Amino acid sequence: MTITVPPRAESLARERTRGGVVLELVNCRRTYGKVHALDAFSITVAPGELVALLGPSGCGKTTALRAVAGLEQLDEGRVFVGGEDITHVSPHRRNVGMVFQAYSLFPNMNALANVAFGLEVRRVPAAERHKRAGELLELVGLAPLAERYPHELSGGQQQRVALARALCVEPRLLLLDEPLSALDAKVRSQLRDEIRRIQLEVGITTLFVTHDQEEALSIADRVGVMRAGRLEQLGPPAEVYSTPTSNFVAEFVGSVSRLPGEMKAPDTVAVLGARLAVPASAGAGLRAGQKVDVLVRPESIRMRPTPDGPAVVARASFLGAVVRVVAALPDGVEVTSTLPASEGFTFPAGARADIDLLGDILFVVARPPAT
Amino acid sequence: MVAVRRKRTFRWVVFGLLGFYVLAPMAASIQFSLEAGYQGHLSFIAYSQAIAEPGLAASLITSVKVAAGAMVITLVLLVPTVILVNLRLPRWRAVLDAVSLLPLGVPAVVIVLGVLGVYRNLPDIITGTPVILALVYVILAMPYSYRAIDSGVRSLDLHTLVDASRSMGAGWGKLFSRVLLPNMRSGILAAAFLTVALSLGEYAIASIMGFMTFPVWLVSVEGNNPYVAVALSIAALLVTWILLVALALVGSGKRRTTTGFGIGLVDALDEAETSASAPGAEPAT
Amino acid sequence: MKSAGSGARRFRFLAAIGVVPFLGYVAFFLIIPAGSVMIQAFRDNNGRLSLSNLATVLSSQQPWLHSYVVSLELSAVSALIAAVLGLVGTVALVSSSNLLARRLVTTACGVLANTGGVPLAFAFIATIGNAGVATHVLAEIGFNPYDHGFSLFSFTGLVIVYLYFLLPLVVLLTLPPVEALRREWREAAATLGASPRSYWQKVGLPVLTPPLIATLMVLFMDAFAAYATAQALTTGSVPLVPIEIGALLAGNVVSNQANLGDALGFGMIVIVVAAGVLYVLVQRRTARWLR
Repeated sequence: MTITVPPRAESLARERTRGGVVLELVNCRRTYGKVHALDAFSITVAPGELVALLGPSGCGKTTALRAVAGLEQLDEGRVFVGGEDITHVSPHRRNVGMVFQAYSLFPNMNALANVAFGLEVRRVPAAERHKRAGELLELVGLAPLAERYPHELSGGQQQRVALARALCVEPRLLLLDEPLSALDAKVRSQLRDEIRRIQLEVGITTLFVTHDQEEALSIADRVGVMRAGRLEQLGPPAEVYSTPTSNFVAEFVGSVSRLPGEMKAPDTVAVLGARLAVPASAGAGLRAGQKVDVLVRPESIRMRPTPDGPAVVARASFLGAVVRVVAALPDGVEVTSTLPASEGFTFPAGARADIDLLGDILFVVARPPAT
Repeated sequence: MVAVRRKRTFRWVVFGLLGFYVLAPMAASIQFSLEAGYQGHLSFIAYSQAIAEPGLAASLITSVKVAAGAMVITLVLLVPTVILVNLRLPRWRAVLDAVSLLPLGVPAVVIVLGVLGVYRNLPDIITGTPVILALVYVILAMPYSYRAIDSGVRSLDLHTLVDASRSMGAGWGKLFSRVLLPNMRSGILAAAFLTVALSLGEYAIASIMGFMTFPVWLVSVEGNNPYVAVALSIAALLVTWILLVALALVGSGKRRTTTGFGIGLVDALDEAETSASAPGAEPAT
Repeated sequence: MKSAGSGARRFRFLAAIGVVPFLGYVAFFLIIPAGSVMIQAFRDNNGRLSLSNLATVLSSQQPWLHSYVVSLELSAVSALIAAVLGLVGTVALVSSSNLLARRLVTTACGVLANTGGVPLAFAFIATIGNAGVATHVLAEIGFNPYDHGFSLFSFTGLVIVYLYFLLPLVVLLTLPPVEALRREWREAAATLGASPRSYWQKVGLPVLTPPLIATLMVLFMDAFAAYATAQALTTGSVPLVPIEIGALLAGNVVSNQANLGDALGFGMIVIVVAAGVLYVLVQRRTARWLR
């Protein structure tokens, strides 16, 4: 499955940033005491690409981002922007634009002055920098609020101003540190699409850090899943979602249903009464006869209410677009399935149901031996 | 790495210098008081002389009485008022806050000027005895003591406590003594400490009105025997410091890491700010 | 608790009586005395309204104007020096991540901010008075400050002593604003190309300026109104307005103008209240920004 990205819209002549530059981190390591915030972390971001770093808190994604900005020192490793080694360049000379989670606007300046700040530091004359700042406020849709001070702006508006401010100096890179985490849900999804639209329009190489997998999947060209300072998997959203290369990635990037199964051959597993092929990415080193857990997405499990089906419905929840059903297999294991509500099936508790596996297996994990 | 080391050196240098400035006078005072011995020998003679100094006991007793009086008047006057305002008259809260800050705008010297001018003709029992000192010290301490009690009350959920107790049949007296006051303990103690500390150390009004409180007596001793004066000053400072540290411990946990008039003053100034920026509005708890 | 409109109003009225003791007390022991001072300032020896007292105070032939000047100078100088040194202390304090140390220092500051008056004056006399311990030590080294024109019992001496309780006050008052300087501002400024110096110039100092002015006002008011320390140290050798008022009241200085003390007191009230108003105005802006 490929994702089609809409062609880049005509922008206001941003010649220099169109096309963007390559961002490369090579073998970066950062330790605090005994904790490895970053551990042999390497990644390359293509020009104009948006890569989302996704992971739980403490996985090192923010450390990686801040290392690119120069706000964190690396113990080992290098950072290259457009081929230039900036590892030891101080942050105010790196020319990277950064948007923080919250509270980053300067309180003593209004929105326009905030956006124009980078140009002010570069001694651009007032008239010109105010004009530029005005253009950027237009880009983020906040032109009428130019005179407002940060404390007079909502969270979402503040983040837009922060984005405009970061882009105003035409940086080579855009770094976003969980920019939506402090906002409420509705604003979050609106702003998320806005950020992507602007990023495509400007064509700037972007690194986006988040712990929200829906955010990462929806806007990124590629998603990098991180854990304990390392990159577990890097690939387009669909790939990371459908063909995870580890148990951790499978469980982090979306919900997971576990089914008991048994390997019949190194590449075949018996599950739910059927024999299915195990994709190469989904499990290695498994032998025939091994008891395993088969991980699938809940929407890959099909349940139908049937009078003499093997599974017994425990509970069903109506979630608007989908129905989530939890049913117990004959051996007691509970399985979660998500069905489109439009299919109209009802699953009263205690009813019997048929379970089928559609779609691919996500991942297969050897079941730990019973103690 | 270099930046961290530089920061640490900076910190140590600054605090070293400040620490020296703070402790040097204390150390010097102790040394000075020990020099009262003859021919440069160090001895504790200044301290034994101090205890024997005529007037010490009398002045201490006067000071303690005045401090106690000021404390009692403060509590009796402020605690019911603050509870009443928070319970029944929320709109008056801003007014009372502002009123409690008024003494900050009138220097002590001017207060005594006015009091002497207006109340010269009052019965002697008020103006001729230290009673007047206690009465005025309540005003001097008010910006701080009011704040302390007010914070104590605000930290309670007053309406809930009162409604719950009343619905269980408690009369006002019991409500007060068994429910409200115990929960306000830290605020009340803070106000008491602040008032006492201020009263014990106050010099301007006491000296101008001619009462022999401890600080006034201390100044009178200095001319005759500076060693004794310094020895007693150290003792006085120590007592005040112990009082204020106790205040810090009492108030700890409920407030920021400030103490004494520090708390009193910082909170008082914050109140001035919030009541100025939102006149008549209820300050956020 | 339902009550009819007028019943509730009457209830409120009864409750309002409860604040009368408090307001009455303040009126009796603060408003009336202060009001009397302000009114008497404008009465001449015969009790008639007149500006003669004010004229005397402001006249350059008389010593009173000079004492105002000295008082203002002393307050301004102490306030400024305390603010600068105290701010350095605050910055050093904030740079430490040791919470216990911070708690200790702020507690110490709270205690020291209240240390003043007579015991403090005597402690300094014992240190750098002409028979003081430090003076002796310095004399042995060969540099007796008193031989070089220094004296504790002077303007300079007063400043040094005032710093003792003003410095901790600065730390307490500037700690919240300095802590409120968000790390994100500094970092955002850096990513936008601002060197640390540029950041301070364009963001840090402008944001700190209102609280700093507020602090200066508090220090000024504190120093201006101080009596005990000055009296214990200089006993009138340095002309200060509070001391002059005290002297007039004690009858040490006899003036043929009966209400001169009131005029001096009136001037003090005006100055202190002006500083207080400036404080409140400046704090309003701070509160808005640092929300």
